Amino acid sequence: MSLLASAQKVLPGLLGGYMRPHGRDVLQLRPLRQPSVAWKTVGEDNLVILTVSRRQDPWSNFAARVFGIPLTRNIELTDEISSFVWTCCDGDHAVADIAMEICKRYKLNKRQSEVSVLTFLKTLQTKHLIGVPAEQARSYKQASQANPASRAQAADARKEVGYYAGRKRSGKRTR
Amino acid sequence: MMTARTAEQTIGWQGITLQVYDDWSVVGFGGDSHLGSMRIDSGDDSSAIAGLEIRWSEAKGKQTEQSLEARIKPLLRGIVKDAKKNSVLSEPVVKPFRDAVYSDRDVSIDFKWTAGRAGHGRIFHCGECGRIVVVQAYGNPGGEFIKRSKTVLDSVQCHSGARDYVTWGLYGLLLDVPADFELTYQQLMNVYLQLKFQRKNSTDQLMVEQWSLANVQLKGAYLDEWYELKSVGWTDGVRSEKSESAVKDHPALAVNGRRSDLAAVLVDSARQYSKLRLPALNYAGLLWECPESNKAYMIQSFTRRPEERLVRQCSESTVCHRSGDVIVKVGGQG
Repeated sequence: MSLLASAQKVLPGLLGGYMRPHGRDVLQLRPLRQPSVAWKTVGEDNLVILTVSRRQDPWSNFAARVFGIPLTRNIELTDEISSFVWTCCDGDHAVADIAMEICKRYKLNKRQSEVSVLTFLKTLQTKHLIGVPAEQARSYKQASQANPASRAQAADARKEVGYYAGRKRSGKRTR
Repeated sequence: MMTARTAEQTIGWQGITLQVYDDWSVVGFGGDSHLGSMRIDSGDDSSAIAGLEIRWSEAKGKQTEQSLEARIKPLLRGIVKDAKKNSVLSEPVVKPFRDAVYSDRDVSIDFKWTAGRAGHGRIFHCGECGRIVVVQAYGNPGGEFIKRSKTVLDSVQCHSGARDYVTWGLYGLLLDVPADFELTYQQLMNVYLQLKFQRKNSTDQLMVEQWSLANVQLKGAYLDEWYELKSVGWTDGVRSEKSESAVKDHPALAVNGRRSDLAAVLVDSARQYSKLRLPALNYAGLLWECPESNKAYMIQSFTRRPEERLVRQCSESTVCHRSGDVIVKVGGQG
């Protein structure tokens, strides 16, 4: 491992070392529900209710007894779009496919549906309710490690695109 | 008001309008109608045109080809410098031309460059609105880039045909607002847009809102219930009357009233009279749902004198759906 690569590991935000996945790659991921999360659909809108169990190691059991934490808790997905996205997280549907379906069903444009779906999936992922299949995660990691300077290259490419290059941008970013 | 175009979506911001493909969207903007910029992204780096940049600024005095060339020189110099750094050949081509489509433009200059990527831009000075506009498309060289970029550049207008109105359009919203209203605030969220305008040198205000996913948001609610929910804050202290109406064949809720909360009226009146301005106490609002585009719209105004016409004109100019749009039923089955 080169000195630069080592430094990038320690200081990921510096030296172009932070391997941020490209949007196109993320859209190809196939999210998968956490097997330990039970779920059911209710009502005519097929709204999803998730049942999440807490950890059951001795420390967690002790903490649960002290603070009165129940064994399971329910999370209700209150609208049909989030419920639909949850049902699609089966490891077969890519994020792009889900976004495209949302596009068609609810007449959003491509960018709107991608932003909505990615934001919701990120929320689910931070709560450890979904992930990606192990082999897909491995191949994804290998692909990003194959080119550690990809972010720096992408930044260079962006600089070429016009007269904002190298200047302070005055425009507000909208979304 | 607009010339015939082949592309599918109109983007309008601070008087600049252009036609772009349907999946393009505004990703950045800044400034006001006198000096500003906007960036539009196609969302796909591999497409012929990856994006578009527009800048405008007011310019006093007569503009010549030389003065416009001087303005784009730093841009082209920067591109050549970057190209040399990356060992890519670049030969910018600058060519003045007579704009046959827009006769009100004093000078127009086309420029093209290739430096890994390709760029095609235009700089022009409009004698009518007094602005210099620089617009540049960039993308992948070869293929249909030049053909497509020309189509987009040809569609750029710096003022609308009807001088009394300014076209505002982005993220599916498209309407005409009287030209004497200036944008004072905007909220651009993924499925919700809000534009607030204020009439120059007065207290008159206009607010335009658009909600996507109307079939999910409005589900089970009548328009008047939804209005009560969504107008909280702006219409506090307004005594109003609601009536049924229609906008573009869609059932709508019309609301007219006047601010009657004594404390608020006194405070507002005192503040405005101290600036020698009349307070805007008359309220008008119009809310409707468009099932074809699955969007809901609300236009509200506070004016000094009762002016229901303002809201009505804005709503009639709103393009809420296009012919051929299919109604989305509740439950999402298209």
